[in-house]
Parts: sequence; structure tokens; C-alpha cells
Amino acid sequence: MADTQADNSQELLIAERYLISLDHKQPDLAGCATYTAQDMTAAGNSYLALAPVAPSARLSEIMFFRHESVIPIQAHEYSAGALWILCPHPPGPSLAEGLGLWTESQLIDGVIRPFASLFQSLEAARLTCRNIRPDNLFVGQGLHKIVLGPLGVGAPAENQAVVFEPLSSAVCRPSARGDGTIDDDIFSLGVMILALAIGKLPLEGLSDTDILRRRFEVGTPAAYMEGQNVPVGLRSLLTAMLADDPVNRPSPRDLVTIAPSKLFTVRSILPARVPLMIGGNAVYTPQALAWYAGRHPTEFSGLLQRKVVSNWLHSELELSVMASLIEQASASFLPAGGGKAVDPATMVLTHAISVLDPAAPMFWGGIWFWPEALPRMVAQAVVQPATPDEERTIRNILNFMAGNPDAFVSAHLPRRQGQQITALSVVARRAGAKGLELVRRLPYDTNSFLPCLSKRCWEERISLPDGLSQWLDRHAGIEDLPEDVLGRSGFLDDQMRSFLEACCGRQGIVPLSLSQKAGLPVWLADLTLLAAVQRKFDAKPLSFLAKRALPLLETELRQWRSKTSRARRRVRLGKAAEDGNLGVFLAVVNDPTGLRLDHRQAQEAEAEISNLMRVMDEAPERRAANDREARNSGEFFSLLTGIAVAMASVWLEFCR
Amino acid sequence: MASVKQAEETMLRAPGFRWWHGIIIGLLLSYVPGSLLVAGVLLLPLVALRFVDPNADSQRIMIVLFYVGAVMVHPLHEAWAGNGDWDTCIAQITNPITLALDWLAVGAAWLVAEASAIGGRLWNAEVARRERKSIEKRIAYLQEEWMSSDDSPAA
Repeated sequence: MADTQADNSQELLIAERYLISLDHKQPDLAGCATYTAQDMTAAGNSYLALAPVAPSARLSEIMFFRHESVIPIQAHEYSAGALWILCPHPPGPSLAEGLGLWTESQLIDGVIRPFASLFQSLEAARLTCRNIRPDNLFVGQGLHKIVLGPLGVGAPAENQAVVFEPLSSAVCRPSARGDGTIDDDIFSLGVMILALAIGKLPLEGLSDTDILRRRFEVGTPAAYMEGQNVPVGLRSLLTAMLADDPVNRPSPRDLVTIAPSKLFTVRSILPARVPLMIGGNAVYTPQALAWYAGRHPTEFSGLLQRKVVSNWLHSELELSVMASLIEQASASFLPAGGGKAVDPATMVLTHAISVLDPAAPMFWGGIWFWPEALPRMVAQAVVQPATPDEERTIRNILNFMAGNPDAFVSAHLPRRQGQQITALSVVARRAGAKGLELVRRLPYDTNSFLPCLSKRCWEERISLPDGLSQWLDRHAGIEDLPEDVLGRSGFLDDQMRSFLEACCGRQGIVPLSLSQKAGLPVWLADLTLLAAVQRKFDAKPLSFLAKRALPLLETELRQWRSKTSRARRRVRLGKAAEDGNLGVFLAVVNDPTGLRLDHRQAQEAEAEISNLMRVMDEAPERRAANDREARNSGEFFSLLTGIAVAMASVWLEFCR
Repeated sequence: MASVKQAEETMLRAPGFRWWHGIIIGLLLSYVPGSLLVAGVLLLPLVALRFVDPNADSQRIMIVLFYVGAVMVHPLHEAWAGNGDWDTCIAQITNPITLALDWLAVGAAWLVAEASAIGGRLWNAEVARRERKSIEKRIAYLQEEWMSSDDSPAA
């Protein structure tokens, strides 16, 4: 965000094209902070710039999705690593500003038919909306045609009110709702149609728990439409769309061919003649029992063990198959050593609930959730935990589930849950991490658009690895990273590390294996990771980081025994830090071949020194030998001189 | 004469002296007594050396012999030229220069040997000193390069 702080007008130019005015904040669109943006290349083209904090994992597919009933995503750009989504202005005010009262034909032509065709396209692309709610639906001025806000810019179903969600996801907390299916969208659309038909939201003013209780008591269609003036022609359609069992809801194809007063048949659920009492509540359907079982687990366990549940199912509801399944499930309460780490009571509860309501989400560890939403739940718990324990609970669930998919396969869960768990364990295996590290990595591995969740840079929404490394480079000063913290916990925190590793993992590189990581000081491992990121993602120089690491690396240079090579490498380090290329920077120190050569040379030098010492010690002996030799050579020289003198004497005597 | 006999006696005690040496000396004594006398007198320093320095080995004697031989050439030549004339021989052995040269020859042999030995020793010492200095320099360099634990003067 350096460029925004540079000028006071708070404008952000991204992709050298879109100028976002950060002071012109618009009402949130699809749950994202929204600003106006101008296209610089085409004057007068105004857009909305969305700053998503939790984009859908499937945003890359959603971006190419076009339908006349959805506000399209015009472009997506990154600025300083943060994702910006550009889309056109909605055609008019949102329905949250005023629902109005729509007639049956207006609803069929302006809502049901367009949305049915939208659902068909989505189904073909295997996508879902999960954001059909009044504040995300826009109606053109004077028109009776509604348009849905952009898809995929928020986590699926996370901003949905409980009223708009089918029971299978309404019981979960918002982050645990998962992608869902198109049936869930049909339910939301049904609620919307009902709201437009009666001019107000159903069950308005009740708390979430009360809404749920009411819906479980009498079934959603009855709870919503009771006492409301619903047009007769829509009654059968809405009953079908709002059905609690997804099988009973109409398919998109049924909705496309809709005509006024078209009739839909719904297999009605017969409530029990005599209710089962659990936690002081009278329960008439297995679905409601499943929900109350999650609220009062101990009581439910007691009922299971005493075979009250199976008897009730058998005699009052005449569901003999379900009764025998429940009986089987409660049989495993007996101390038969199942999974080692699985709490059998919890597992039995999970199993029993899935038998009672096959469409319900998973209940495990005290919370309702769809397994596919677990990474999103972890991310949510890291950023804003609802309860202090939440993060630990979710972490344990995810860790266990990713590590032991077999424990759940043997539990005979509904197909959708089983598939999601298998998919999760596949991603976990690919991540190649374990325990806490795996839990931290999974959100990034499952969603490549997820911003780094580190508390230090969460505000910046950085979802590109080079954006994070640039941010780190700007925040590598002594005030952001004190010396002792740097030495102890390195340049990155755990979330940044997992984020960067996941980014590298997507590119198929493993910067540091676990064993290598164990042998390195934290800051060095961080630098290696950053160097890999820099190399792989072609990031700009990181000279501040490198300069910060310089003193630390210089101490690493002590490994080199040669003074001159230390000095030479120190100079090279300084230069590499100036250039900001971490790869080169680290290679100066991380050079096993050079280090080995250096150590071998040092050993050779040691050997040479001891050799020379020995030579010096032998000097007196050598001197004695030399003296003897000198004496001998002196005598020899004397002999030669004598011979010469004798010959000279003879020559003088006789030859002259 | 007495000195000659004494010399003969000392030689007699020398090892490796054979009976035919006596015959040769006898023959020489009978034919060229003068020359033999000259040779004997001039070889006296050798005998003296033998007495003074019992450690003198044959190599030392050989060295001295060359020097003494160089001095002996002239008197023996004179004696030969005078046909062994007794007066000439006497004149030769009483010539003080010849005698002085003869004794000096022994000294010269010793001096040359010792002087060159000292010279050699000095030379060796110089070589050793230079070698030691270069070794010390090499050790100091290696220790500085490889052993200095850490430096960090203005890192």
C-alpha cells in the first residue's frame, strides 16, 4: 500500500488501468468492502472495486462464469499482493432497501425463470451461489427483474442469515456451511420468493435458535408460511422449494418449465404420534431428534443406550430400517476397541445422527460442520475466533480427520460427507506436513485465493507470495522485528511460513524438507523459504530483508576457517544484500562444496604446520650432521689443495 | 743418522710394515744414503704430527704428505742432481728455508682444512637460518589464515 500512502487523495492504481478511490466507500457488495473505480483507458467507465477477505476457493472458475442474472466479475487484479475484484455497478438498489410486493407472474418471469436457468448453468459448471439474500439481490429501477451480486467473492453461505439457509447448513455456524449443493440455492430462492410474495421476511424478529427450533418442530414450509397470505398459485411450489429434505425440492429443470399454478408434490413427512422427550423438548421427527441430539448429547446417549430411540422409531414412526441401524450404532457403545484416538461415544453420536438425518451435516467434537468447510473454519478461527477454545477444537478435528480418514470411512457416514473427508485427506497427504503444521497449511492448500492469515499482515489481504515477501521487505526494520525476536523466531510467523510453503507447493517445489528444516536456525530456514519464493515467483529485490539478515549470516560465516575466504564472502554478502537477491545471498553462505573444500584445506594446513614444526625441532641434529660434513669437506678441500700445490711444485722444479 | 733410525723405528711400529720395506730401505740406504737422509729429515714433521695428534688418521697423513711432498721436490732434486753427494745433502737439510717451508707445509695443510671446514660450517649455518626463517614465516601465515578463530574488526 506504499503507493496509496504516497499521495493524500487515497487513490490506488492497479494494473495501470483501474483507479480505485479509497475515500469513496460504497455499501458492501456481496459481503466485501467496496469502492468506486475508474477505468483509465476508457474515460467514464465506472466500476466497483471489491476487496474480498475470504474469496471462494473456486474463484478462478467462477470468474469465467457469465449469466444475465449475475453481476459478472469484470477483472481481478493484484495490488501489493492483495486481490481486487472489479465488477460493474448493480442495476439498482438491493432488495434489503425494500422488498415490495410482487405478483405471481412477476415472480415467475422476473425471479424464478431467470434463476432456474442460472442454476442450470451453475449445475453444469458444478458451482453453487450460496449468496441469495435480500442485500445481495438487486432490482433494476422500475423493472421486476432481479440480479444477483457477484459470486465467489465471499466464503460460501457465510453471510447468509439462518432464515435463508436450509436446515442442513443452517445448523452450522456460518464458516462451517461449505459449498453445499444447488438444492441449497433452490431453498434460498424459495425463501426469497416467499419474502417477495408476502412483502416481508418470514419469522422476522426471532433469534437464530428460535427460528431453528420452530423449523424443526413443524417443518420449514409450515413454519415460514403459517399465517401468511401466500398466493395460492405459489403455495405448492414454495412448499416444495422449502422442503427440509433436499430430495423433495424441485430441480432447476422443474423450475425452468414453471407455469402459473404448476403443482409440485412433496412426500409429506409423518410426525410421530407420541413425541420423544429430549432436554425438555418434544421431538416429532427424526431430523429434529438429530438436531436435539447435538444440543443434548449426553441425554441422547442415554436414550440410545436404553434403546429408547430405536423403540420410538420403530413403534411411533414405523421406520424399522432406521431403527435397526440405530440399534447397530448404539451397540458399539460396548467397550469394543475401535479406533485408538477416536472417542467412541462421539463417533457413535456422529453415526447415530447421520442415520437419523442423512442430509444433516456432520456432528463431531460438539459442532456441526461440513468436512469440506474445515479449512475455512480454521481460517475463520485464526482471524476472529468466536470462542477462545474454537481454534483448538477445530484444529483437533481437522488434524484428526485429515490423518485418519479410515476411522470415518468405517463409520458409514452419508456419501457426501465421506467424499468430502476423502478429498480432505488427499489434500492433506499432498501437503506432506503433519500435525499443527498441516492444520495451518490446509486452508492455503485448499484455497489459493486465501490471504495470509498472519496477524501481522492480515489487514493487507496479501494473497500472492511475492506480495508477502515485498511486504516483509518493507516491514523488516528493527521496530517491526526486534533483534531478539528475529534470532528466536525468524523473519516469518507460522502463518506466513505455511502460506509461503503452500504457494511453493502449488508450484511443485519443496523449499526445505522437514529434516533440513530441523537442522537450520529458524531465521535461516525462513530466508531459504523466501529465497525460493523470490526465485520461483520472480519477485523484486528484497534488499531490506537481506540487510537485516546480514549480521546473522556473517556469524554463520564463522564456519569457514580460511580468513581470506571469510573476508571475500563477507564482501560478496554485502553486495548480494545490496542487490536484494536472496538466492545469491544465501548461496554465499550455504555452499556445502565450498565449505568442504575449505575444511579440507584447513586440515591440510594443519598437517603442514605440524610437519614444519617437526622440521624445526630436528634442526640441532641436522646441525651436527652438517658440522661433520663441513669437516670432511674441509679435509677434502685441503687434500685437493695439497695435490695442486705438489703438482705446482713439481712443475716449477722440473719444467722451468 | 740417529734421527733417521728413530724414524725407522717409529715406522717399524706402524701397522702394515712388512719385511720387504726394510729391504728397500736398506738398499736405498746403501746406494743413495744422502737422498734418503734428505727425505727422512723432511718427513720428520709427519712423524711429529703422528705423535702430537694420535687421532690423525691415514687421510690426514695423506693430506699432509702432499704438502710435505711439494716442499721435498726441490731438495730431492738437488740431491739427485748432486749424485747423492753427501755435502749437497747436508746443505739441503741444513737449509733453514727448506726446513721452515717443510714445517710450514704441515701447518698449511691443517690451516686449509680447518679454514674451509669453518667456512663450510658458516655457510651451512646461514642456509639453516634462512630456512628456519622461511618456515617460521610459513607457519605464521598458515596460522593466521586457518587458525584465527574470529576476527570481526569492523565487520
